Amino acid sequence: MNDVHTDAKVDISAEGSVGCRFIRSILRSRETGIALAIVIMVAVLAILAPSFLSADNVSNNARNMSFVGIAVLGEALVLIIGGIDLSVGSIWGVTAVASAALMSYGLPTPVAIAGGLSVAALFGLFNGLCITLLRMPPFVPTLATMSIARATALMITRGRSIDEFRPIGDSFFELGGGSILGVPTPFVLFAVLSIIMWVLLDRTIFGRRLYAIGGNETAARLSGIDVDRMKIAVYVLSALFAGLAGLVEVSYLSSAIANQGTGKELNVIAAAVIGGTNLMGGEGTILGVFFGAIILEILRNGLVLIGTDAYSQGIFVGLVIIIAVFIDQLRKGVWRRK
Amino acid sequence: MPDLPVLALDGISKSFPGVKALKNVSFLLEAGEIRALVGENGAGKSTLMKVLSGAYSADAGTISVFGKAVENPSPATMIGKGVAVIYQEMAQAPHLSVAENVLLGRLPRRTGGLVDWAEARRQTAAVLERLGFAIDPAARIDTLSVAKRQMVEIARALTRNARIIVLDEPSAVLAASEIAQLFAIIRKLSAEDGVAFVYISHRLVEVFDIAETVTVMRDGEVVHQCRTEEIDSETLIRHMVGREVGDIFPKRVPKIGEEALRISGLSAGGLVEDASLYVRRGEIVGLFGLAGAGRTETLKGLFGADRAARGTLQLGGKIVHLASPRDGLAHGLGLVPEDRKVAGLFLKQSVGFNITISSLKHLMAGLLLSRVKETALVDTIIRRLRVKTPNARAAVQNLSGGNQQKCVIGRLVGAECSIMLADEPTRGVDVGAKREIYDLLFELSDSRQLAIVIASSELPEILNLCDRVYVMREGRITAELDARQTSEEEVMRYATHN
Repeated sequence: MNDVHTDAKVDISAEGSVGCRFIRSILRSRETGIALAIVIMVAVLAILAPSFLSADNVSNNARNMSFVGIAVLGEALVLIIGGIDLSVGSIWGVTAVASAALMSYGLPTPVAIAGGLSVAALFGLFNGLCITLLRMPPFVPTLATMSIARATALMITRGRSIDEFRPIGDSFFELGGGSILGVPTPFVLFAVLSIIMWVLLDRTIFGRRLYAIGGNETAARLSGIDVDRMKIAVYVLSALFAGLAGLVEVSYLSSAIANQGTGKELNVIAAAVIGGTNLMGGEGTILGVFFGAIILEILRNGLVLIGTDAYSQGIFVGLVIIIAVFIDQLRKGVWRRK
Repeated sequence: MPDLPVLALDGISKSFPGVKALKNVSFLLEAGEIRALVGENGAGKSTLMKVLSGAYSADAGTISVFGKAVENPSPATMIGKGVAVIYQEMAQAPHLSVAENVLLGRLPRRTGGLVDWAEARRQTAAVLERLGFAIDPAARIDTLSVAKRQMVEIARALTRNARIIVLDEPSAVLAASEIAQLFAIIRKLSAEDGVAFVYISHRLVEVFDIAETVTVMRDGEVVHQCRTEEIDSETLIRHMVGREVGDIFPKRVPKIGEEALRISGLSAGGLVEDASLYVRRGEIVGLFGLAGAGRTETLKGLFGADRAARGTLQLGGKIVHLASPRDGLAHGLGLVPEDRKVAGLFLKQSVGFNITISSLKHLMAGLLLSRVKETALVDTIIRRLRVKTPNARAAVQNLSGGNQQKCVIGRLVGAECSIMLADEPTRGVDVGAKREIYDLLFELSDSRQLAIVIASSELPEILNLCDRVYVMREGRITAELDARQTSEEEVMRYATHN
C-alpha cells in the first residue's frame, strides 16, 4: 500500500516541464520571501521618506550594513552546525583595538592586520576547544569569551581611544572609508566574501558537512565526518569574520575604542535569523543571511528617516525577528498537527 | 445486560507522509479483559498506541471510553479518562526517586505548598505493596533494573486510577522470572479490580499464556480478532504475516570467499566482553541476542564508533586499529545504525544529500563538488536499490521507512564499503519493504562479494537470511551456529539463561 502512495507522488511531481518546476521552487524558497520583504520595505520607505533612495543614503546604508554583514557570514556557519557564538561582538572589539595598537607601535599594516586577526583566531580556537574537547554547550564558552575578549580590549586601551595610528590619507583607511567604482569598499568586501562563502557552503565538501553536522550530529559522526575538527574550524572562522568586521570598522572610523562591537552579537544573530537560519541547526543559506543583514539596516535607517523615536528602535527589530520566524514556520507548516 | 465496553475504537485511520499507518482500525475492550495485540514490526501497533495515548491525533475515527466519545484526545485527557500507556522506552525522570516518579505531577503537599515527602513515600509504598513489588520508594530510578522500572510505571498508572493499561512489548526487556511476576500482577488487577489490558507482543507463547482475546494487525489494518482458545499459533502467524513465511525470505546459495573481518577479544560499550567473530566475503553472518545482549555495542566496537572498545581487529588478514567511524569507512566498513532516524539520516535533507554524504571525495571536479558526478551517483543508487522517491531532491523524511533505510544502505554502497554492519536493518519497515531489503542484502552479497553482519532480535530474520549465526547473551558470545542446521529453540536456548 505504501508503494502505491509513493507512486502517486511521483506522478504529481512529474507534471510540468523542468522550467516550470524551477520557477515553482523559486517561488517556494525562503530567500524569495525575504527578497520580497526587502522590495516592500524599500517601496514603502521611498514613498514615506524620499531621501531614502538618495545616492548618499544608499551608499551610507551599504557601508553601515557591511560590518554586521561580514560578521554574520561567520555566525551563519556556527548556527548551521547547530551552535551559537555569543562572542562575536567582543572579538570584533578586541581585534579592532589590537590591530590599531600594533599600528600605533609602527608595525606595517599587513602585519598589524595579521596580528589582529590572529588574536581573533585564538579566541575562536578557545571556543572551539571548549566545545569539542571539554564537551561544553556552545553558549558557555562563547559567553565567557564575550567577557574575556572585551576585558582584553579594555586592557589594551586602558579605556582610552587609539587615534592617529596612521597618518591621514594612509591607504589603510581605504578599507573602511574608500570606495571602488562608487561602491563603498566594505560593501564590496561583504559582497565578495558572501559569494566565496556561498560557494563554500553550496559546492564544497566542507559546506556539505556543516549541514550534515547541524542536521544530525550522531549520523554525521557515523558517516565518517570528523565532527570535532569541523566544529573547531567553524568557531575559528566565526571569530575571524568578527575580527575582520572590527578591522574594517577601525579603518572607517580611523580610531579604535574598546567598546567597538558591543552588543553586535545580537544584531548578527538577528540578521541570521531574519535571513532564515534555523537556530536548531542544519538550515540556513548565505543568500538568506545576506538579505537578513540588508533588512536589518534598512529597518534601522528607515525608522530614523521617518522620524521614529530612536529609543523605540529595538522594539521594531524585535518584532521583525518574530515576524520573520513566524512566516518561516507558516511556510514549513509547523502548526499542522502531528 | 453486558456492561458497556471500557474502550471502543471505531474506524481509526492515521497517515504520515508516505505511509498510511492505520486504516479503519476498530476494536472493543471489556472491563477486566486482557487482549493481546499482535503484528509484525510496522504493522501499526505502536501508531495505534500513540493514538490511544493521545500523542497522535487520528485523521478519522473515534475513541470512546466507558461509552463516551473522547473529543480532541490529548495525552492529558486520555490519562484523565483512565487510559495509561506504558511504552517500551519508559518516560521516566531517571534522576528522581521512585516515589517522585510514581506521583509525578501529583505529589502530596502540606499546607503552604511544600511537598509532603513522608506522605509521598507512604502512598508509594502502599501501592507498591498492593502490587507485591519489593521496591524502595526512595531509590533513584536510574539505579533500578529495567524490569523494576516497568513496575514503577504500572504503579504510576494505578495511582492515576487507570482503568485501561496498555503495555508495549513489556517482555522484550524482562527475564523469564520477571515476566511471570508481571503476568501475576496483570491477572490480579484484571480479576480483582476489573482493569482492562492491551498487551502488545510478538512472542506468541506469551500471548496464549496471558491473553483472553487477540487482535492481529497487518499493514495498518485489523486482519483478525478472536478468543485465544479459538486459534493456534500457526494460524496466528499466518494472519500476522499474510503469506507463508517462506515467501518473505528469498533463497540463495552463498558464494563465500576469503575472510574479510576477524575480531578477537572484543570488549565494548561497557557490556561486551571477550567477543570473537569473523565474517567472510559473500557471507551473511547473524548476531542474535535479546535486548541488552550487546549486539549494537559489538557492531559499534567493530566500526570504530566506540573509543573505549578493545580487541584485535583484522581486515583481510591485516591487523588494523580503528579510532573513529571515519577510520572505519576508510577501511571499507559501513554501519547501518539501529535507529535510522536518530543515527542514520539527515531527515530534513534531500535523498541525494543522504546518499552522497560519505562519498563526497569521489565527487569532486577540481576544488568543487561536481553536480554531474553527484547526480550520476545518486541516480545510480536510486535505480539500483529501487528507492521510491519522487526525485533526488525530495526530503528524506517524507519517504517510507523502507525507502529511508535504502538511502542509508545506498550511502554505504556509494562509499564502496566491502563490509556492511547492519543493526536491525528492517526495524520499523513494513513487510513488503522488508522483502526488498532482504533481496538487496542478498544482491550486494552476491554481486559485490560484500561481507555482511546483521544484528537482529528477530529470529526468523536471522535464521532465514544468514549463513552463520552468533548468539549473544549478557555481552558474551555464547554460540556459533550454522543457520541452516539450527532451530529457533536452539538459538533461544543460547540467548537466554536456560
